[in-house]
Amino acid sequence: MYRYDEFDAQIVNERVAQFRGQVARRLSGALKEDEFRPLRLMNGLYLQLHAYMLRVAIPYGTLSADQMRQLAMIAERYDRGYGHFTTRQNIQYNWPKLADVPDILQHLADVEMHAIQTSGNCIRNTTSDPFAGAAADEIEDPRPTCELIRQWSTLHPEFTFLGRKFKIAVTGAETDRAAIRVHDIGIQIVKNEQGEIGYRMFVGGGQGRTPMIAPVIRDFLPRRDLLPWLEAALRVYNLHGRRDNKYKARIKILVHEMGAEAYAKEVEEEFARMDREVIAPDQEEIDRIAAYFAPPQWQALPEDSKRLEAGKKADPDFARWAETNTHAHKAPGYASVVISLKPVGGAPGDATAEQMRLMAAAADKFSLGELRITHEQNVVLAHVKKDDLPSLYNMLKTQGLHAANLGLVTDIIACPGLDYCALATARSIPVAQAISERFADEERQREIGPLAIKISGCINACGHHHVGHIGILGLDKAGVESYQITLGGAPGEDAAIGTRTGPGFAFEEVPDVIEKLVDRYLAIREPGETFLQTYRRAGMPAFKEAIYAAA
Amino acid sequence: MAKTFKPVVLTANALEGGEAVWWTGAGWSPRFAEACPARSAEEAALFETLAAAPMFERMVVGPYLAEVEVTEQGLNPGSRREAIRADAAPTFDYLVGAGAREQAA
Repeated sequence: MYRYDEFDAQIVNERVAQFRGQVARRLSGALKEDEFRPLRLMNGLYLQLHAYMLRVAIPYGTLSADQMRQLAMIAERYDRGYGHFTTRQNIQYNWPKLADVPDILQHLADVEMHAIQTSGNCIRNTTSDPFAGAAADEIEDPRPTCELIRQWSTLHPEFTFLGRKFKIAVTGAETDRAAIRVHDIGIQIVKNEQGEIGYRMFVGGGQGRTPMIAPVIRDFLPRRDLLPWLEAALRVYNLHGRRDNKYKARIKILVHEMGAEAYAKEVEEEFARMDREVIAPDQEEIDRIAAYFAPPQWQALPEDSKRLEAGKKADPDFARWAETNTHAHKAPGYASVVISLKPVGGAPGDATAEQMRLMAAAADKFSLGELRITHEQNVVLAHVKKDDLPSLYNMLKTQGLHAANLGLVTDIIACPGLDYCALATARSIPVAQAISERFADEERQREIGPLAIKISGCINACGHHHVGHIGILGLDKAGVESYQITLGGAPGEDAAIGTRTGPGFAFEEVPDVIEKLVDRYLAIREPGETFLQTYRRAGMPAFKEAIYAAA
Repeated sequence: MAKTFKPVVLTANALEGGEAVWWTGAGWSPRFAEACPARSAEEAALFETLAAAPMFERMVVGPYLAEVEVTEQGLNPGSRREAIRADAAPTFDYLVGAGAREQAA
């Protein structure tokens, strides 16, 4: 993974010192809140219902075991013993005190981490495939590209005052595990007919109150043109994007209103006009960054593992977990493991300090000291030998990290919602807990098969409900929580925005509603069909009538 | 017809710790029960003026008026959001480790 050089270290250390001064001036009254607020947001520090909230950047979701241990220490020393992993592969602390934040940032800087640009109207964390560098279907590891974008976008003087937040995602495979089509800019690594690596550029996707799937703005962009093209794309947005209305300020609105063709034309004109040589990194820099992500030396192993098979025979719970929570690896005899942070009845994406330490130890022991956070709020150990799966499982079990539910009905994404968030209109975590408890039975979960439920506690859609197979949106209707259900959303290469079923439901009704939808699916599915496939075949009416009483 | 005035309290987040606080009439308290309600439009207007006081910049962030219900037993929060703030915690057992249930199994 990327390691800071002296410039990177200088930047984060100076940033901490700068923020320390800003906090001191805020506490003394020398800075007023409206002066301080944009400054603290640029360091990822929000003020929520009960406390401040610090969002720490985990670049493209990758972190080392040492970094994970530091996150655990911070949770214990400065917070309430836990952290929350987010849908943008970051971590959030829910209870820091303002005066402690500079010290927290220094502890982060000490392990090459920071909270820069995790909030505010700037370019945020560039997210990616959690199986980067491991996935069997990958054209190229997307992380060198993500690291280039990260360096280009951090403290970029021209884009520090955008009209609104800006989110970029990169996939290295055609199967899109980074949800690039619902990002402001989505980047797909592709190969052209000559076998050259380049990028397909999607611009103008997003969720929130006006969800949109991004159109392709450039079909093939040669590798070295990436940063200049991004610069051109941002310049056009910065110039033409709206600033009069917060709800119309994202690039998706601009691309939609201009039209994709007109937007593309402006970008190409800017691209042609600009001094690209100044912006494009030279090959030496591209190679320097790529070297940090050089694949490890794989051991020569047979594809199948006798130890794994024996373990599965001996322990049916382990067998279930090994089948559900692993992902195909490019090297024979290896697998990528997904550690579920969605135990039945738990708060999705939360991990205690002890659990973080255990995951760090597991990474050291079994996965070359590296972990990844997924945008579905789980944790990946990318390079595990199949021989080691039984030992890893037993280790995870000691901290309740062995739920065998990847992609199943209890693998729910939920934003923090009204229990934490100042923007929320309804609770989301208790809804996830209730659904999870309703479907606790593991056999039943497997019978249902892949089913992605995503819950947002307000219209800002941080829970990504628009791209849930079942999406749940919590609103406030005359002081009472009301949950709207959407069906048929999908985040990947077959991206779709879910369709509303109809009137919303009360908090207590939601688990019953989900159960009725599931039962209807089980009743009408054809052999081998997933929930999403059945919905796409049978359509809304079949499901709608299951949850609303006949008129 | 005159709209019935709904009592309000003045609330904010404490600057240092970020916790929800309420104006008691003599200071800011983290205990909702100690909040001082404004029982008329005139009192509410006074609270608005108070909220803008420069001295509060060093104590609290983002003061605003929140509706409450005044009963004989005391105050009740006027919305679920304010009830959650008054409890100073999420509505579920958030400190239970994510895997505690699994471990217990």
